[in-house]
Amino acid sequence: MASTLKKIILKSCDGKILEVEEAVAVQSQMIKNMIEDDCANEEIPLPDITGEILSMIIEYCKMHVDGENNSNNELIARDADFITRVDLNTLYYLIVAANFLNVKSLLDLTCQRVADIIKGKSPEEIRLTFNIKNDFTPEEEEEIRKKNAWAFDYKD
Amino acid sequence: MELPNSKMVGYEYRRMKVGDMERGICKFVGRVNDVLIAHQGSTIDGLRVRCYSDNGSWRYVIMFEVLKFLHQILFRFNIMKISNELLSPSSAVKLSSSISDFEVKFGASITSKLDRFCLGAVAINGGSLRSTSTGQQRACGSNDANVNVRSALTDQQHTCGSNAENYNVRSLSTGLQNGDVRGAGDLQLFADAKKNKQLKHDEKDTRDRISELSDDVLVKILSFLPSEEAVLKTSFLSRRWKQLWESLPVSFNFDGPMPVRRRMMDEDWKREICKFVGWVNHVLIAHQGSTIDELRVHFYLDKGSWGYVDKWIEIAMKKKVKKLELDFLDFPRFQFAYYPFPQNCFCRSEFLTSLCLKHVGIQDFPTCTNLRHLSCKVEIQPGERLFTLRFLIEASPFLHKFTLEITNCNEIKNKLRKVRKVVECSPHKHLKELEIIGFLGQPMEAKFVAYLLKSSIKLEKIVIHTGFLYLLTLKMLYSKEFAEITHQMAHESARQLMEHRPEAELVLL
Repeated sequence: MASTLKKIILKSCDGKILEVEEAVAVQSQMIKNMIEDDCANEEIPLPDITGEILSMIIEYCKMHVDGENNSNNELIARDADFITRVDLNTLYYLIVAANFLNVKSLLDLTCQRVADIIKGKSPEEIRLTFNIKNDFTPEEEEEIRKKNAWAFDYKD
Repeated sequence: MELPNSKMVGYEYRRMKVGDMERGICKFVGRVNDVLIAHQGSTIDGLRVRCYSDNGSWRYVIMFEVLKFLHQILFRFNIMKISNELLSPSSAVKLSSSISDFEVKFGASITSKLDRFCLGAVAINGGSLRSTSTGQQRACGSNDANVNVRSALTDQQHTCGSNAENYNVRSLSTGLQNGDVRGAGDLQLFADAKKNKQLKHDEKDTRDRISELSDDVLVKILSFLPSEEAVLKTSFLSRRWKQLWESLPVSFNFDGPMPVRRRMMDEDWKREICKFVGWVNHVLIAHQGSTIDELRVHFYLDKGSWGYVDKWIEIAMKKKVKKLELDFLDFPRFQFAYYPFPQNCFCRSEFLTSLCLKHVGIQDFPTCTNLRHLSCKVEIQPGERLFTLRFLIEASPFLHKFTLEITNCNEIKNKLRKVRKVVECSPHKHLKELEIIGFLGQPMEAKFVAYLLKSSIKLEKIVIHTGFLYLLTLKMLYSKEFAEITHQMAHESARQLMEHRPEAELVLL
C-alpha cells in the first residue's frame, strides 16, 4: 500500500518542482527504470523539460491512469481532446519530452498529430507550417521534382 | 484575354469522409490555382471563392498576391476547421495591398478560435473587411482600414482601425448594444492588437524545431503517414528530410492515374501511365530499408510496362514482402492483354503470406509455402475453363482463406444443372474459409466450387455472393427478371453443392 502512494519528485529545467504519485510517474518508462534501480528517492532533475510541459505530461499520464477502467473509445476521445488543444510549438516540446521520458502512448499521440498536420499539404505548405528551410539548390530541387514528376502532377 | 468576373464556386462537400474531403479540397484548390495562374489579364474585378477550407488551403490565399490589381475579392470560405496555425499575420500582410473589398463568410462551425483569424485580418492594408459569422467575433484593421464585423447572433458591431506601427486603436465602433459591451469589445481589440505584435515578434525567431527532432522521432512521424505521401512530400522538404523515408519499414500503395477527364486523349493517357511507372520505379529503387511489408499496385497496365512490373515484384520479393496485391485494370480502349503472372520472380516466396491478384493472367503458379490468404479476380472468357485455377490451391498447401471473384463473360443460362461428377483430388488440410464472389450457378462454376468443397476437408465456412448485381449491369443482355431467376438458381445450386461438405457453414448473399 505504501508503495502505491509513494510520491516521485520531479524538477523541471526552470526550477519548478512537481510531486507525482508513483502510479502516474511510472507511465514514463524512464522513471519506471529509475524507480526499479532505486534512483528515484531524491528529486529527479529533468534538464530539457520546462515546468509547463512537465505539468502537461503529468496531466496526460494522470488521465491515462485514472482512465484505465474506461472504455477504449473514451480514452481515444480524451487523447484527441488533449492533443488538439496543443499548439505547434508546445507540440515539439511535448515530443522531445515524451521521447526523453519514454512515455510511449504520448509519443505516439504527438507524432500522429504531426503526421495529421502534414497530411494533405503540399511540400511548400509543410515548410511554411513548420518553418522548414528549403536548403536544396535549384538543381537538386529540380532533380527531385523530376524523379517525383508523376506524383507531383497527380497530387496537384 | 480578360476574365472580368471570374467566379469560382467550390464544391459543397457533404457526407464525405474527412480524408476524401481533404483530398477533394486539395484538388479544388489546385484547380483554382491553375486558373488564376493561367489568367493573363492584368486585372480581375471580382473573385468569389466558396469552399470548405482546411488550414492548409489558407496558404493559397497568399497566391492572390500575384493578382496585383485585384479590386474586389469576395472570398467565401466555409471553414471546416480552424486551428492555431491559421492565416498568420505575415501571410495576411502579403495579402494584397489593393484589395478594396474583402468578404469572409463563415459557416456555423467556428467557435472561440476565431480571434486568431481576426489577428490575421489586422494586417490588411486599406479597404474594408466584412466578416459575418453566427458567433461573436472581433476584428480590427490597420492603417485606417474600415473593418466591419458583424455578428449575426448578438448583432454587435465593432468597427475600428488601427495603425500598424503602434497599434493605437481608434474606436469607430457603433455597437448596437450598450456601451459596456462595446467597451469590452474594444479593449479586447486592443489586447488582440498587442498580442499580434507579440506574435509577429515570436514568428521572427521561430526555429525549425521539427527538423531538430531525432531521426527516430521523425521516422516515427513518417510511419503515421501513408507511404507514398511520406515519400513524395518529405523527401522534398529539405536535406534533413530527404533520406529519412528510405529507412521506413513500409507499405507501399501505388494508385495509378484514373481516367478522370473523359476527353483525355490516348496519347496523354499513355504519358500519364509512363510517368506513374517512372515514379514507382524511382521510389522502389531508392528505398533503402531492408524490408517492404506490403506492396499494392493498382493501375491501368499497358503492355509496354510489363517488364517494370516484373522488376517491382522482384524487388518486393527480395525485401521479404508479406502482402502483395496486383490489380491491373481493364481499359477498354487499349487492347487488353493479361499481364502474365511472373512465376520466376517468385522463387523466394517464403515470406509471402497474402496475395491478391486481380486481372492477372495466371498460367502457372509457384509453390508458396507460407501463403495464408489468396484472393483472385478472374474473368472467364468464352472457351476458357475455370477449373484450371485449381493449381492455385494445390500450390499453396497452407492456405487458410481463398477468395475468388468471378466475372463470367459467357452466355448465362438460368437452368439448374446438377454437378454429376466431381474430380478426385488430394485433400487440402488447412483451408478453412472460402469466399466466392459473382457466383451464378453456371455448370463451370458449380464444378469448381464442388471441387473446392470436396478437397477442403477442414473447411469451416463458405461465403457465396451471387453475381446478381453484375447481371443487372448487363441490362442490354439480360432483363431484371432474368437476373432474379438466376439469383435464385445460384442460391439453389449453392445449397446443392453443400452436400460435398455438409459440416461447413454456408453464408449466401
